[in-house]
Amino acid sequence: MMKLLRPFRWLLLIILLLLSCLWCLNTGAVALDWQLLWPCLFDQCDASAQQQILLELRLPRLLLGLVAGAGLALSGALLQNLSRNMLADPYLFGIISGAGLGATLATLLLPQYAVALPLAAFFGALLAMVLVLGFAALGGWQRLDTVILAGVAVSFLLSAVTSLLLYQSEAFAANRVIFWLMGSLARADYQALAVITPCLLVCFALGCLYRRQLDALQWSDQTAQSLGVAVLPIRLLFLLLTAALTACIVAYCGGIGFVGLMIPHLVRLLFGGQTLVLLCGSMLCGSMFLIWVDAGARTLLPEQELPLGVITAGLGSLFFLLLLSRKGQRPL
Amino acid sequence: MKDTITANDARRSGKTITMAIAILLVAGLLTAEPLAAEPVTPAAAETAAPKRLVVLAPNLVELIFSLGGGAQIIATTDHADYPAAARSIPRVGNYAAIQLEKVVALQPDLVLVWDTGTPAADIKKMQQLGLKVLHFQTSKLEDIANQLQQLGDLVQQPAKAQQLSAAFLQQLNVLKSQYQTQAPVRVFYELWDNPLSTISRDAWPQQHLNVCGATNIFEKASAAYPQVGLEQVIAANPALIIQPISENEPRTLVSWQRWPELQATKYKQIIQPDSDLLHRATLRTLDGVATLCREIAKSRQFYAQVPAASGR
Repeated sequence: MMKLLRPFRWLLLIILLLLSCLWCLNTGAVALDWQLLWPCLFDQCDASAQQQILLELRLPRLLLGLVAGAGLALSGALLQNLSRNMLADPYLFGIISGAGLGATLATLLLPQYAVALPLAAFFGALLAMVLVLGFAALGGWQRLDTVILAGVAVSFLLSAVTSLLLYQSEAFAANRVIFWLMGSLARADYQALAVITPCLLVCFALGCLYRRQLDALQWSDQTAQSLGVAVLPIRLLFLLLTAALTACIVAYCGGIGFVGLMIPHLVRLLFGGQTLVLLCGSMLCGSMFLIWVDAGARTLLPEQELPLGVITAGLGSLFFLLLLSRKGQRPL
Repeated sequence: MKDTITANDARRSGKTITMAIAILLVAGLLTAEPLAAEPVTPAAAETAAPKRLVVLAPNLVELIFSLGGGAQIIATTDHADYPAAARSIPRVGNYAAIQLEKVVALQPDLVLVWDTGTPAADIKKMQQLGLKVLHFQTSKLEDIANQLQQLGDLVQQPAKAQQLSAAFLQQLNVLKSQYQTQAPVRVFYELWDNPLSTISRDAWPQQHLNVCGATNIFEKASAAYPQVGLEQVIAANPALIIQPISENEPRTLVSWQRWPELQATKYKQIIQPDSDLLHRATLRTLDGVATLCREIAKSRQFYAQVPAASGR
């Protein structure tokens, strides 16, 4: 069966993604008619409230889910191949703690400016990344483990500062920041898309351009070097790119954990680990996963929304445990 | 690596969420904060005579019911549980997120939000979607009277609002004149037991203590709802310990009996007022405050009769 489907698997994946998009557009707290979907999306329809819900709430949310899911999975795939560490994740630079600190400062100091939050979260994420890469540079880039450990340390440091600020502040600020950190696509608008989409495309294009070098890096640094790959510049370039992409996504969507960790693993199982295949597959699967999760977040509880991070981290950790138990039986 | 971070983050946020929930019990809290975007003024809203209201704060729901306008509320948030009729109003979210789709589909004439309690991003989005949003902010007991009048205009009960708000202010003044200038009683306000948390000068219940003539031993703490150590409480040795409790949301309490040398324990000066009344900014608040003042006055009397005990 799998062999029969093999040539068509990309086609199947794309069709599945398109169907998922339609399904997600038609799913939500308010029930909409299937028949009205097309006219309301592309034309005038009589039900103006339905049209407003579709065009101003669901569509931007769907599109943001697509690019954010693709971006997180792409970053994860790139980082895992880059570091030959299957646990690498876009959040390893302490990005989420940095963004949390930025969001906290924006919530506390500039509550009246809506644009301050994503901007501050972005710069917070950037700060974390600069600190982590700075430490890695001090260590002479010898080991990627240093980057990961520095990420953990910076993450704790920035979290501590955030906790202190929240503790000293007005009580509801803590609420707002915590729920922001749990991740949500509810803040979706076209501005967010305009920021994230170019980052995503640049990352993807460069990933495709350097696919051979990235493939070579999967063996070892020495092998790659002997094949003529400039290991250090390539690694630095992609670290910066993925960090910037993740920072943009975190700035608008908050903390959505485990997508970058889980999706590339899944794609490796389904499609194999070659860079180009992995990148394309991760983007498609990441998009589809995140819009499903968001549809769940919007509808699982009858009277409220679930934070996205709750679902992604829940599913992600279960997936990982499953993977680990399978690994225990036969070495991968 | 990742596991360590996640576990720790979870622990941290778990702890902070517990705190946040404790603090949410103080549903009326509210330090002054600039209003987001351009608020619709009550005067402008009044001319439209709105009939269908989405009310995103439990205290506002209760005030509207007091005015007899409960039938105009077409949707609200979680925790809007008083009066009993409010429980059957459809819900459209909670303090963390509003289900915007449902709000849009209901096509309300006006959305009433509570600036610190309703998610700011959702308020902004509702304004972008063209919904009329009216902001409310409660930071002083007197604000309840003002809000009654605003809401009275909205639900077209201005006379009743006028009457209720005058009665409210009068009741407040009576309480103040009766208790505020009495000999101060040193109290510890046990907002939450684990982590042990209390209130300071910026917190909503501090006003109740001021009205009742009580001195909060942690009034000068920098956070509005600070966590404190048991040792600090023992060192300050309060004359009275206040443990607000709620019937709707049970909680565990510190067992002060373990510290018999504490003045409050020794003389059994521990009271448990109703936090639903004290922590929510509605007409019932003053009933809660009145009970609290009476209990504090009893304690004051007690210590007056035991001269040896009043000195530390």
